Amino acid sequence: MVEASEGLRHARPRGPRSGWVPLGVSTAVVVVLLGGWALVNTVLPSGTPVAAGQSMTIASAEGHEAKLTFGRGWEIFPGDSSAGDNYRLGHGSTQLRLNVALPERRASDIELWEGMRNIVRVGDPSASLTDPQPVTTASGAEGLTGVMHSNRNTGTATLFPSPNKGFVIEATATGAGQGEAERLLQTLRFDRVGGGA
Amino acid sequence: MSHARPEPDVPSTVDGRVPRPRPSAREDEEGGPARVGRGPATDRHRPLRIVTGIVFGLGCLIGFGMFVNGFLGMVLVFPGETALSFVLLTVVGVVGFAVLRRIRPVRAPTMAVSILALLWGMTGALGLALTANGHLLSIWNKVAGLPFGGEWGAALTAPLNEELLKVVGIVLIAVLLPKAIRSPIDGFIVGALVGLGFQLVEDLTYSLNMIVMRGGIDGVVAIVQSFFLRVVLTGLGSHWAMTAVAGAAVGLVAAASWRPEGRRTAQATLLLLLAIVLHWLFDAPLLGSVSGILFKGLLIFLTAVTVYLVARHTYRSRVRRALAEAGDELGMRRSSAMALAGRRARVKELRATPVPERPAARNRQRQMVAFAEERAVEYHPPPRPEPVLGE
Repeated sequence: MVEASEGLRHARPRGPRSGWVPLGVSTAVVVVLLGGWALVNTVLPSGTPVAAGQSMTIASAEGHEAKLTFGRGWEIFPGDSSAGDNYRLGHGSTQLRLNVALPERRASDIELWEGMRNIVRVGDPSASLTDPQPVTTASGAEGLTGVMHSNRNTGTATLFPSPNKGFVIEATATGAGQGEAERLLQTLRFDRVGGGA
Repeated sequence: MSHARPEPDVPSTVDGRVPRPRPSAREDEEGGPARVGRGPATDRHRPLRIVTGIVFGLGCLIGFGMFVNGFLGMVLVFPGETALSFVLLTVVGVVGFAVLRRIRPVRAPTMAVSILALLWGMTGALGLALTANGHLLSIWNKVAGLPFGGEWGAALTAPLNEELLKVVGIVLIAVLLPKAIRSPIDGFIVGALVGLGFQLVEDLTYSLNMIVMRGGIDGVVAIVQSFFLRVVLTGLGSHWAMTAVAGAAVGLVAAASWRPEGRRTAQATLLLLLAIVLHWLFDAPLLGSVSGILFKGLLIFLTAVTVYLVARHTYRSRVRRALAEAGDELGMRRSSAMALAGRRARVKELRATPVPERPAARNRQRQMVAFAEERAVEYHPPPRPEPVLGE
């Protein structure tokens, strides 16, 4: 008799679930997706050392690729970088940010500099660039460089269009010891790759 | 030809009795009965609704804050380009909003539900996803290296974070306004509106990023290019379609009062996974040519259309069946009663009614349709006979 009652009790269809359950699950999903990923990201080391003498292709488009050759003491921050698009590099207190731009047309260097004036203001509204000066890397790549002022810091801004102006490497360096950044940019070279214009 | 035939021998409720419409908390603007999405606010559920409303509001506020934090700089530096993108996307948004509301069979969802869905997509889901994506992309880059992260990072990040965060909004709306989502078709429509909101703001962020990607020059060209890529080329098979599929899953579970049986759980899980897999395919570095991208968009669109047609057919069948029963009780012709499931048929009937009698006829139509929708969502298949022991 008791067994029969137990059986009936278990056979009884379950009623509707409280709305608190989906609310709780939804809140948990948000917490996990934001807090969980943030926690894992924080636990993982942010910088990876780059071996001295190592070359890295930072952009490749329209028949050319841009390469940098690192000196001693550089590290790359993969979490703040995106392959072929932008990179955050560090050397002591020096921060070097590289951005690969793909202009729609073959713009002049001065037009590209004016565009860079806009881009530096996106991250820091107080940032401004002085008028640029020509600069040439050790491999002969020509570009423009100037001083970047902002309320936070002073640094340098540099851009190097690829030989056929298919893409542009834009760099901003901040922090003490910007000479290291300048030395690294001096190693920039554009190599032809097969099939390009 | 419609396949939605009434089944006169099968009553539309478990006990076969005609259910009475639930008392509506609010009548609609023109004095008719409550529409889809308006529900009774019982005191028992008041704390739940208040807490859900707070969670929903906080999600939208925090998400909007995250979006502003990420993109205010670009908006201030490129105000003209932002305005152009905003105008273009507003046109798309208005059209999309109207179309998605219109495709709900029988009646459109209420404006309140529609706006809440759009709002969650534009703020809560989008902003929270920006942050969650940033962290997960960073993790892929750190763990698997920059080349892998650049190639596969987006495909392994956005489908998981974005689909789940959009679904969270659909669930919150279903808890906040229980009458808004009581069937897969409700979930489909609300999901599509959440996805539309997400898509519009994401398109705005892509257009602003495109300016930076183009070197900060020729911003207007970048905006137009981005619009072409994101709206013209891939707009039909984007977030609105993926979230509509995931929303149908929420509709299935909500219709079972959040306690679905095994088969329904499996169906809902498959639909949610389908939305995530479609998103993965869209973001994966596969079929990267223009024709490949078009194929992926078309596949997503056709999947959403298939889910829509199945959900619509089921829902319309139930409403037509309920209308037929209600018509029988009122002594109406069965075909006339069933025709009320269609908007055009309702308008046609009103036009054929003498002008002085139209308000009353319109009111009767609304009551019958509301009654039929109540009855349709309460439909359960008749219970199977208990197996006889010893046989």
